[in-house]
Amino acid sequence: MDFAVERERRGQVTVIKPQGEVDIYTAPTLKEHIASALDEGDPGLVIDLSGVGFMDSSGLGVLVGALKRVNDAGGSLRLVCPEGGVLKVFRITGLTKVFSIHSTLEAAFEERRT
Amino acid sequence: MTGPGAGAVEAVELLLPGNAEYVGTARMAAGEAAIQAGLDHETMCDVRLAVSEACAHVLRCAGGVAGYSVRFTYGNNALDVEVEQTGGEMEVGAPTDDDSAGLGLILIHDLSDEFSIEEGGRVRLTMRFVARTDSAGDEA
Repeated sequence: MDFAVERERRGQVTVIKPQGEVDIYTAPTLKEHIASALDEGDPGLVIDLSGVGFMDSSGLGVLVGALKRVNDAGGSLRLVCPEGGVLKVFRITGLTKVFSIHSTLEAAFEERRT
Repeated sequence: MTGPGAGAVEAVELLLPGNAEYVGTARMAAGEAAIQAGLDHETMCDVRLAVSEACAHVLRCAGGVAGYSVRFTYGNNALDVEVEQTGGEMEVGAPTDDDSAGLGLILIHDLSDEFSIEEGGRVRLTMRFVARTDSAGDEA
């Protein structure tokens, strides 16, 4: 099972894009990348889940932890998550009400400007 | 491949080491078992997620469990899954350092038709998924 995380800087925002399946085995890798971005003091974070084919509660836990850190630091966290199985996980757990979730990366950046 | 005939019941069991790396293997087997059980694609995805959560729950509770078993029993348009710690007893309810505590069990409860969990001594989770027989949403 291949899992990789890409990281890209767009102005004041860091885009983190995991690719593959996020579970109890791979979630720590995603957590490291997010922590690294936050440690560098990035005020804005976008996590693009469009390349994630599967995610369980281990991934949710990482994202909830990231949201806590971002909120404490006065920053912003947006998620990109198209319709599908991953979004279903957010819906079942009620986390669609907690996260700012967008269907495309462009939509996530568009909301930052408004 | 086709599933067992009417009335027939088949079972597949995986014995996995207590290593998070092998949860993906359990997921792959879950997908295949769901197909064999005649479940639709959406339910098959639910089975994969629920099995992943059950395995993760055993591993989180275990804190170094020797291993665990995943048993799929399918037939009669249903799939039963049992995930159970193997080896010695472990410290149940060990604290985790992530923020996912409880979310996995919420997911399993929502995704499965029946769900039970035993945590006295060895951790054991059982789930049942039943094939949908209605045609709601299908084109006439």
